[in-house]
Amino acid sequence: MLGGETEADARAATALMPDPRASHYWTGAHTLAEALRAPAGLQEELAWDTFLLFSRGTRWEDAPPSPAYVMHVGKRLPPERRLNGDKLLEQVNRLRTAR
Amino acid sequence: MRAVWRVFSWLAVCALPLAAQPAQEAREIPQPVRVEGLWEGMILYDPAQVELETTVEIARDAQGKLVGTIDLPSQRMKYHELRDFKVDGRKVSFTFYRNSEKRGPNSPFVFDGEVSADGLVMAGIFTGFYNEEKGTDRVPFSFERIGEPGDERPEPVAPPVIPLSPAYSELRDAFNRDADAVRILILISPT
Repeated sequence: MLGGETEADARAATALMPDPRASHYWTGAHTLAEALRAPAGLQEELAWDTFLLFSRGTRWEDAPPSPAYVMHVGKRLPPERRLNGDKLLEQVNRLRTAR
Repeated sequence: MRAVWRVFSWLAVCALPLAAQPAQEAREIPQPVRVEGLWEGMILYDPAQVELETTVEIARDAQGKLVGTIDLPSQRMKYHELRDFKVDGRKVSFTFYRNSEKRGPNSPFVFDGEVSADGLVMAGIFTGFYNEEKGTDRVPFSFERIGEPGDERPEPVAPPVIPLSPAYSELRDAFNRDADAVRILILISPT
């Protein structure tokens, strides 16, 4: 969510991820990105442009849970965690096969 | 449509040995490849990180000259004109022109590629989007033929958007509903 964006922009963008398993949400506020700052491992930055992967069984109680794996774009996080679809898929598969 | 092309390709491969038998000495004469079609694929600006969805439609006008358009949704480009077509055997190149922050107005963005022997894939190098990290403006592209020029294009599916309440309980509820699955939460700007 940047300054001038609207819900209509979000509706248009959903076409880029039409997978029926995905749910799409819109917020014009930073509250969620603030709440996910610490779980994503960020100090000051909001958690926009992060990709948070959660294991089976993880539940969201009062505060958002910590992800099992994080990738990002342009954050002060390790560069090897910069978004890479292949690496992310590896991690998804690792978690899917984990017992 | 793709399945139909694959069947044609299979028939062509199977038929080739029979047709070739009586003319064992015949030499292959390179033919210009047929590039007319509806092509869809990616410009691999930064593979697995930034891959730009691309649709290219190439046809012949009434004079037999190649004409075409390109869609690059990430650049908000739709039916943008392609020009400067060159076909040499299986090699093909074409260009679109657009203002570039780095290179100025009406700068060329060039595709130099090759069409596969079965005519289903076009792949090569795209020049024009400068990648500062890699210090180059040459990146790979790969398109698959998905139809013929003028074919109806696949309609984009746009799933619904759920506005979040201040406590984002809609998201939290969905997250917990799927607690027996691996989940990914992506926070991104829609533009």
